[in-house]
Amino acid sequence: MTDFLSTPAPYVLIGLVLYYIAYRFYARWIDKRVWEPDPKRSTPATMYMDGVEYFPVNRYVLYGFQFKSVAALGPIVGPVLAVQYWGWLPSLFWIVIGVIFIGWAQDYSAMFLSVRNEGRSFGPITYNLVGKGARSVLLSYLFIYFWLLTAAFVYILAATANGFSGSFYIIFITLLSGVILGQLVFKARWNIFYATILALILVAIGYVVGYYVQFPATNFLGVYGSVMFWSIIFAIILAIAAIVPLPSLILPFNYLAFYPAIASVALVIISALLSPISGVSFTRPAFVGFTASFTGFPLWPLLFVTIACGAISGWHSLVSSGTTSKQVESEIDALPVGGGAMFTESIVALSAFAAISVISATVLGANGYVLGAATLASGILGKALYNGFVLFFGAFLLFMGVTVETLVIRYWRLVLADMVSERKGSIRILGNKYVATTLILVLALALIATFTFDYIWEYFGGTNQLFAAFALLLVATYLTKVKKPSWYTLIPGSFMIVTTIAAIAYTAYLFLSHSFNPTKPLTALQQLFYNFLMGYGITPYPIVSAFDVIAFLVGLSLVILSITMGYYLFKSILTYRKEAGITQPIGGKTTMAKPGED
Amino acid sequence: MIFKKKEGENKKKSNPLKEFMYGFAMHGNVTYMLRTRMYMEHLFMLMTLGDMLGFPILPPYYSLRLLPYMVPNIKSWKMRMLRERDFTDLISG
Repeated sequence: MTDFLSTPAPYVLIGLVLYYIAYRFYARWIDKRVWEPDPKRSTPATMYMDGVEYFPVNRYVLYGFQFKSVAALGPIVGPVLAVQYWGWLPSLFWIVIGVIFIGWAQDYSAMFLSVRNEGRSFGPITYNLVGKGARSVLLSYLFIYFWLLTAAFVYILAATANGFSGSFYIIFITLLSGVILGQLVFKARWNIFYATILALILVAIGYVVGYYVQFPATNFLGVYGSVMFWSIIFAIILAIAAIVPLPSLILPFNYLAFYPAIASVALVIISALLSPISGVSFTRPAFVGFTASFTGFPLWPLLFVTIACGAISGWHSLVSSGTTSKQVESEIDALPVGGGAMFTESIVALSAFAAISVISATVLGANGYVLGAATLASGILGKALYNGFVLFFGAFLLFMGVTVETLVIRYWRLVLADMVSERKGSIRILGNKYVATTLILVLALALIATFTFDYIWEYFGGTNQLFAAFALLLVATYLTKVKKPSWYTLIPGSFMIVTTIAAIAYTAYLFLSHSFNPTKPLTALQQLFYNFLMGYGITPYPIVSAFDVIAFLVGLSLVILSITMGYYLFKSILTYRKEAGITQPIGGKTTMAKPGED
Repeated sequence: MIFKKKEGENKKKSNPLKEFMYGFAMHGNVTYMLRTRMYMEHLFMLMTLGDMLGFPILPPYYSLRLLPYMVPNIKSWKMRMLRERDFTDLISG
């Protein structure tokens, strides 16, 4: 029994059972009691059907699309870092509790909010419910979010390519296969089935090449030089991918990446559930302490931003209200699509939790996931396959990172172009696709170069979670307006906004305090940055201090924007309560609107 | 994942796994293709109907010849052109 309890299997299983119970009872109860879906009511997909943006889509298709849109590196990297910082027990607790009480509620409610508002996305809904100022804050926030996300993901890509020599060839050959597939399908009009078979054969060749050609070796330029080398390589790849038309590279690449990605997720989950048979057990402590190892981060508030996706993520609300809500066929599909996809994404986080818990090594970025997943899978399928699985899961991380990051860079330049399009003067140059793409990648490389990934991840997680808090409070604002109970989003939203502001403020404080005393690096990794500069005869301290001040100002801006947004949202909630004549405690039971009244 | 049966749902047998796989791997691509076609159609509509809107791009002879083919698209074109658009609409997953 002790052996069974020291493997990840029972905890993953408990998580799955709790997800089922939460979906079956709590989520359905909220669905029926608060949103009261009516299958006879027209959705934007049927009301405004244009066959392009608005058209009804089968719930299973939409569920698959929503899951693909929300699941990326986030649910993997967060648990990998958190388990190393605080132990596996608090990480597991937050993943499970987070998704049950907050995560699904955000995704589902954001989707329903959009469905009930003619399929509008978050910008116009914020404008309508809260005002012009709040929408501007949202836009400013989005820019910082994209920047931090790009820095974090490019670093993870570089750390993975460096850590697992040969994995780069897999992604490189898959990218080339994507180009060939695109040409075959879109230009030569090949049958998609035969084109897919050919492309998958090329991908398989990529795996073989990656396995046998392990060049350059890990850390061939030292840790710092190698990670920066791969960061620049990936920045160039991402720039090309973000600039060329989507059908030329990204669409076929994403399609090809789907096959190994889905196989990887399924393999890790099954291996984790079978870990009592394979004998793979926990090697990390259940609880390290309230202060993190390596970094000294306090458990509250930083655990709640370190694990973002998998527990709750603001990105999901943007996707839920961006495309999916315009294609929901019936109101009763919102729960399986929005809530169901979130619970499924959390299973990916559980797989990451299981993987990192069974290895004791401390490695860069998300590499712990690769080693842990390979340990779990080879435990079941044969130890001789360990090296092969290391490459397989390394390539999986690269696939996930590249597919999401190219889209993020694309969004960045589209949003930037949209913002400067009506302005006059030289600022319009920012709308140029080459300038915008170069700008975000140079800014991201500047962040990576300082080797403060742990801190950058906290900023990224903080912005992501604040988006989630905004979404939850926006939903609460709407529900108050239409006289429906709002406690199930208001309470989590309030918790998230306080926690994430505290997390960002704490991280900003660390940067500020370090700027006064830069002789001691923030992390052991940052010492490598110091050594790099000193190797060229440059004194690192003024540069580090300057970076600390910039990073502090970024954090300060985020805190100010968050407090402003929080003020707007709570003010709107109070205003709507007053208008509606509600006297019960905030978020409590309110006068239920009659069907159709809202 | 549990999915509740809808009232009046089409009785056509569906394959949830196949549809999930399609949604995961292809739906985003198909949506993007439709959007690309939409933008091209917008240009084509503008060329064809431009004369009536004050942009004489095509000679009226050709516009009139093409008009019957354009008429069915006018409603959805108008709806798309008049719809409010926001930066958050650009984030499509």
